[in-house]
Amino acid sequence: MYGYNTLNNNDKKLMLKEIGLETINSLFQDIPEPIRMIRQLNLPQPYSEWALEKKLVNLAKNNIHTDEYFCFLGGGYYNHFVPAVVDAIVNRSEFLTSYTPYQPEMSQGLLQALYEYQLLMAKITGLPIVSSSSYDGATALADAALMCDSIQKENKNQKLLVAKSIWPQYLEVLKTYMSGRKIEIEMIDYDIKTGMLNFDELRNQIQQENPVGFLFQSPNAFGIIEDIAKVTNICNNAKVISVLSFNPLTIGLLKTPGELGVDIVTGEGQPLGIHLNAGGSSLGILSTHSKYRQYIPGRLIGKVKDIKGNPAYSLVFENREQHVAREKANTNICSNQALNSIKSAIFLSYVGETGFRKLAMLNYEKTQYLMNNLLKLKDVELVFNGMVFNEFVIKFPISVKIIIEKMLSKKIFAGIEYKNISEIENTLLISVTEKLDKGDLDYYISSLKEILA
Amino acid sequence: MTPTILDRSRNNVSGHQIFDSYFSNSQLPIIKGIRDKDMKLGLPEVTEVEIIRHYTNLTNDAFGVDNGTYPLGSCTMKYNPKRNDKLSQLAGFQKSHPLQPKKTLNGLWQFMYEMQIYLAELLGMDAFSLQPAAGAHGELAGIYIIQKYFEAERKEQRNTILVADSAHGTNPASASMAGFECKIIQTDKQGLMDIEMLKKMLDTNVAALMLTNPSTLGLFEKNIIEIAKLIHKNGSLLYYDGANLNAIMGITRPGDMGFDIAHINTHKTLSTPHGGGGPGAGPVGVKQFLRSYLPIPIADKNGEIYFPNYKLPNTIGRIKANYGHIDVLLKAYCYILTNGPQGLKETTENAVLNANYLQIKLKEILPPVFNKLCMHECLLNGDILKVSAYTFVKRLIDYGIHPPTLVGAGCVYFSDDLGSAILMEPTETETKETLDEMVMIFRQILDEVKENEDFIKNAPHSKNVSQIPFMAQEII
Ligand SMILES: Cc1ncc(COP(=O)(O)O)c(C=O)c1O
Repeated sequence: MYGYNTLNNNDKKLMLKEIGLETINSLFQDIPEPIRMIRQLNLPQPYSEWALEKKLVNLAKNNIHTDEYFCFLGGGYYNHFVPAVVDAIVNRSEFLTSYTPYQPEMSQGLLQALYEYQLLMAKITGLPIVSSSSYDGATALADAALMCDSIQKENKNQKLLVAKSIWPQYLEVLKTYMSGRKIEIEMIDYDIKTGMLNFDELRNQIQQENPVGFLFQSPNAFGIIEDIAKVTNICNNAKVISVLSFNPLTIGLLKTPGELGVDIVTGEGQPLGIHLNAGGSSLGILSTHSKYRQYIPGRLIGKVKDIKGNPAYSLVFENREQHVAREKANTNICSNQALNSIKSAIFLSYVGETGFRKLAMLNYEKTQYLMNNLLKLKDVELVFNGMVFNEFVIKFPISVKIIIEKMLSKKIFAGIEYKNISEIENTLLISVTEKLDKGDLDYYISSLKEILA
Repeated sequence: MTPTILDRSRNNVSGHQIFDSYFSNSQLPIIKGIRDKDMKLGLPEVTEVEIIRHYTNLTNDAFGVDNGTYPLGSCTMKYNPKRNDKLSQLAGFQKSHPLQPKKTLNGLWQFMYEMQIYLAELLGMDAFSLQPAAGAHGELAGIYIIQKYFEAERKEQRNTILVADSAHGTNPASASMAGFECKIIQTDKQGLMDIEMLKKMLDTNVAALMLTNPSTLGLFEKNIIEIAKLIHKNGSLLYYDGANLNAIMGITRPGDMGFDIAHINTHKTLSTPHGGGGPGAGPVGVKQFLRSYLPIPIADKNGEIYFPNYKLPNTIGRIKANYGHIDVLLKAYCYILTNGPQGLKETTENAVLNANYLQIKLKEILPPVFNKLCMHECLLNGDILKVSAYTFVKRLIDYGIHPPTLVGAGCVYFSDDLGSAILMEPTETETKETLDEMVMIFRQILDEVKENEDFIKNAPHSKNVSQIPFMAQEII
């Protein structure tokens, strides 16, 4: 007996007898001989619980993590704190071990938690419809692009305008997703001074290409906050759907994208109470207007009436989904990011209105502190002069590779190397979170000073 | 309805400890689009204890595998071992940033590399990518691989994907999401894919056939060798939907059956928790001739050094940011290592034994749709029930059992003539005692129907809400 099997030999004998068989093997009589395995699987022999723990602990030890080194890495994933209440709730097995709530009568609590996620996230996006099914910030953006295509197929060219200043990984995912539908992607450049979108180019391209939508990011891949209202104005005038990829934490400080006229808001939910986990699992935020509800992929929770006429939560609008619409479904998503959306709902409840603002302020202030002090160092320059939130791009007089290496020996993850921005070399994207205190920030500054000296 | 967390909000209370003694400037910066102090978002203000009580009470009105039997067909709701959860939360993984310098993530690359190899062995494939986030995402990756392969290697335009009518909804949805046209092959009288129909449908437009084996009807497609031959002779590829892999571990492998591409749902066969819908993971594997098409990066090894390999010449690109659902995959890895080869095989044997036992024991009440042995799940006919299968299984809720899969409730689809079919998948982690008890409960419900039909028609009776009609109208 290995693993988690719960039948003993006596059970097996009795059960086989009921079925009218002699051997376990005869249960598999439909499987033709030529494809039967005649050897054991070539996998490690079973581990005891303590041996398994040792194995995993050793693997984990071979990673250096963000409690060991000072983390100035961002790029869409941030070393924010995760309140203990989040882990306490999501480790409870009633949520953790349940399936998608296909049986609403016995899943009201789970449905309510997911419904509350929709309510809370709608406050952040400023748009009423929210689904918690996109796998991460990158696929949420790609899902939004597919929505644009479906909504606008009749009216527009199968083209998509995309800001150059979105995360490089997001662009890669987008290209993969668009390859099937044969949607052409055209890139919109950024202004080399501000790092913000090149609005003239955007205006021209929108006129010329008549695209199904325009995708951009704010803060963008250089950490620069875009003039969202200006973008949506340009898009609205041309009846082009605007799609934003955002960092939800910025809304502690900024107006909601919905309020600024964005049609589809997407983003990475990891900053809201989700551990880094080397980049996954996380949460794709996806939100839109009521009029586009039929196009949104994934699970939607709503209210229905039970047979006594009382209100109850349930999965709704399922005829959009694969298990009902099959090849006509608006997406193939089935298993999704439910538990991670509950994490961010708990996180938002925990920080609340005032805490959310405080947290965003702290991130902003600490970023400003680091940035301003770094700029005092000789030959250290900002690449762009646009406003930033929690990360910024710095140009160094020496090789960034050397800087990263030397900072690493001081237990600092110094930042993310950008190979080449507009022919500017040796640039680093440096990111700050609330978890870095003044001493940590000063240590970064003094270490860098030493390296540059 | 229970008040929402927003309903519980009060002014000037908080649950948080968010402050920094040095940085406490409350002056708003001057940024375009700044939200003024008096512009509220409407987030709730609640204390920590209120949050904990609110959510704890919500969890009390939810039902997981830890609460009771969950024979939801096609979903493989087996027990999710606790040690896996614990070991997936070690700081070395949980607190690693994906964009750290490569050499600071050696444990990650090694884990990924080993996991890829284990999965390749388990499915009989040659190479794996761990990137896809769920089964459907693995399918999508597979479909893009198929598309790219015909484009790059074969320089052919093939626009059709064949799927069985019994296929899970994600199969046709994945195909059409990638721009393919779907053609449906019917199920024959024996519950298997209609081979004659398949033959007629094969032409130079067919890029691939997507197949689940055993199928979502719980039957092994025993003609699979012939099917694979036909597909390959036609120059097409064969895609394996690995959602039902729990039925065949260590017995046979998709790779040996002739499949070229396959995904596995770790949240089914490999015991990772479903989390109320997710996250799961859906690694995708291929035969050697398709390795260069996998999404990037995959983990690789050079001597003793593990590293992420981005250099796959024909790669479909990224299907997701970073490397996959690492926290989920770690649990699946622990599951494989705990079981070992023999344990995995016994898992399968007992899963199939349990399903067949249940099928036999329920035969008088719910005769099997196809009168033969089943694999890891059994498809039963609800036609002879005096009440609809929909309401009959709702009564199970009162007995602390999650209803099985029905049309529209659960994850599979049945054609019209199977409108009242019930798909039950007990999994290997149910004991004989719980199965016997479940059979007894079914009998009892049958008696209840005789005594008071209306009572069952209106089940369940023990929950905070009453029965919710099928596809109930939403109240806006
Ligand atoms: C047969 C089958 N195929 C595919 C899927 C989709 O997998 P996932 O939910 O992981 O996306 C499922 C799961 O419900 C399934 O049962």
